[in-house]
Amino acid sequence: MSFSFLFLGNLPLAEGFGINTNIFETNIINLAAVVAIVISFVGKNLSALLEDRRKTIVNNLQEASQRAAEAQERLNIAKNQLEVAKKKATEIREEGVFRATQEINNCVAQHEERLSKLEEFKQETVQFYQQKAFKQAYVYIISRIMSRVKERLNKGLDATYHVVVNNFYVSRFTEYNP
Amino acid sequence: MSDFLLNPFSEIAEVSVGQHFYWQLGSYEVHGQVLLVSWFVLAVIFGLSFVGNSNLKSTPDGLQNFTEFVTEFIRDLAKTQIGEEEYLKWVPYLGTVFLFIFVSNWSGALLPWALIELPNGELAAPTNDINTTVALALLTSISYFYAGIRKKGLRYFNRYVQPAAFLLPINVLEDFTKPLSLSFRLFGNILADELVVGVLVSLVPLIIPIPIMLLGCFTSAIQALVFATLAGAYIGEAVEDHH
Repeated sequence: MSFSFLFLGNLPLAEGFGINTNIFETNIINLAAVVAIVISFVGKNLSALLEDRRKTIVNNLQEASQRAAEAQERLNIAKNQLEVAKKKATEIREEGVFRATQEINNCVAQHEERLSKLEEFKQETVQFYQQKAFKQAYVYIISRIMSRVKERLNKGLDATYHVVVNNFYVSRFTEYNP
Repeated sequence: MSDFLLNPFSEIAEVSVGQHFYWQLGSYEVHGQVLLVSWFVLAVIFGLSFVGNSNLKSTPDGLQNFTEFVTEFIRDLAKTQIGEEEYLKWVPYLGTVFLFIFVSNWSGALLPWALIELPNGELAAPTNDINTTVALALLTSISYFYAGIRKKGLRYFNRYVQPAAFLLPINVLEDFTKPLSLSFRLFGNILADELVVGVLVSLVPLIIPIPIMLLGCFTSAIQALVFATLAGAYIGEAVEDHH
């Protein structure tokens, strides 16, 4: 009798669509078991696989963003260093310019000093030779005077010179007023 | 009942083969049950891809993760079969073929189609109809011809006389055996699986068919993979450079 149940269930194959409610005919129990097994088995593995994949991707993204942040940080540090280096460079340049000007000033000052010393030396030399020349001139004049005086003294006094000497003394006396 | 008692095998053999739900399109008859399930399969794939990819995020989760995983799988398959240079152009085709066959097979193996009665025939996986598999196989043939001719022009036909000219008949024959073997392999596997399950169910309704059904799930998945892999291999063969 179970055969009739099995195989005659689909006898009302009428013209048109319908729903077959025969449990054995539709094999629904086996299908449910198979679907359950497949879902529990494949589904578990698949979800584990997908979760793995998601984790990998998220990790990669995080790593990448972390690396990006690190790179940004390094960039900032490098920029700061560049800034410092630039500042130092300008400082060094300024110092160099300052030193150079100082050096130039020193040189100019030394030069001027030397020039003034030379000038002084020149003046001294000129003065020295002038004095020397003057001395020679004085010596010459005095010697001439002395020789004339000697000559005059040797020749002795005559009337005219007597008068001259007397007049000289007289004039000195007239000038004298104590 | 009397029929069954007289000849039980005729009853059992009636399980599905040769019964179709014909639709008349002009003077042309199509297998309606195949088209119905094909549309269902297309709806599933479309729905899955639209739901999965409608709201894309850079960190995939849920369905997006799943669709990306499937895409990656197909890309890898195409890459291994076609090669690094050309594979990207053929990922859509291989993906379509693989997903259609896979979802068809599994829907046939897992969904209780028998719940719905048709006027004639019964709903099952579209791939257990030879027309579907032949269509897929011919598409593959066209694809690899197109791939080869597009890459090499008329030089593509050099391959018929390689490695030696006397192999020409065999090489020509190969172009016919490829779609033939593709279509019959898929069709035979799926139909055989459904037949075995049907016969077993009619003999022992409970428990015993379950391992066979699980095996059917396994072979269904494998057949989808095999079809896609072979299609990729044929395309790769057509575009590969002969020296």
